[in-house]
Amino acid sequence: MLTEDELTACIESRRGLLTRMAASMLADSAEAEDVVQESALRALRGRKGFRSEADVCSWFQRICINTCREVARKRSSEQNRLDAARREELWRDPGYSVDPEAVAVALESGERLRGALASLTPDQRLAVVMHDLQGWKAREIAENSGLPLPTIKSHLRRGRQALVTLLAEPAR
Amino acid sequence: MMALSCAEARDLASDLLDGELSQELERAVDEHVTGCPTCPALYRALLAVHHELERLRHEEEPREGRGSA
Repeated sequence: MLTEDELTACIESRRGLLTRMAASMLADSAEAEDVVQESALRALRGRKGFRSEADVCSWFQRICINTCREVARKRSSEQNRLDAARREELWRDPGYSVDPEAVAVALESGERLRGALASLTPDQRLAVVMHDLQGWKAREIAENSGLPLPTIKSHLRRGRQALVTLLAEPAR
Repeated sequence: MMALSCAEARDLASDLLDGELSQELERAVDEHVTGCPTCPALYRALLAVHHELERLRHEEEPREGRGSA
């Protein structure tokens, strides 16, 4: 059976990485620490259900990623979903385009990029943050979130497209 | 050569950034973007966002090992 010491060692070895991932996902460092702590408690409570053939650290990572998705989904509003659907519609319109210079200028401001990331749907943000900002492979994100690989790739495409649309809009 | 719609080319452009397209699809995206009045600007903007995220990733401190499920 998985011992508390083994699990605690895993939690501590991944705490920094997962806190940074959660902070990018939630745009809130304090909440990111809470998410990792809550995940640690969930893992410690559920350690008797851990299957010995699985990797302990990957198991903890999965708990953490899903706790993060849960928190992000709770925060997400109906308006956020409607805005995402509107942006997807734009990208299906052959007449839609943007001024790439306006996007390049917006990218010079870290605040604009953070704001755009915060406007993505939780699953788009998960895909973009983990893949493009943290360097995970799409397959790894799928394995650690429990979402199918094609779904992760779709969130990644829509998330990147949404960032372009958001950054091309005039600053508010 | 397969002809792509704007929506198809725009979706595949994201995979192109990750180097995940077959040569045939890469050529099809190139051909579409070359002849399209709206997609080149979107592709340049996608590329700019991709480069900026990549730059920020490299700025971060070295990552701890994360293993695989």
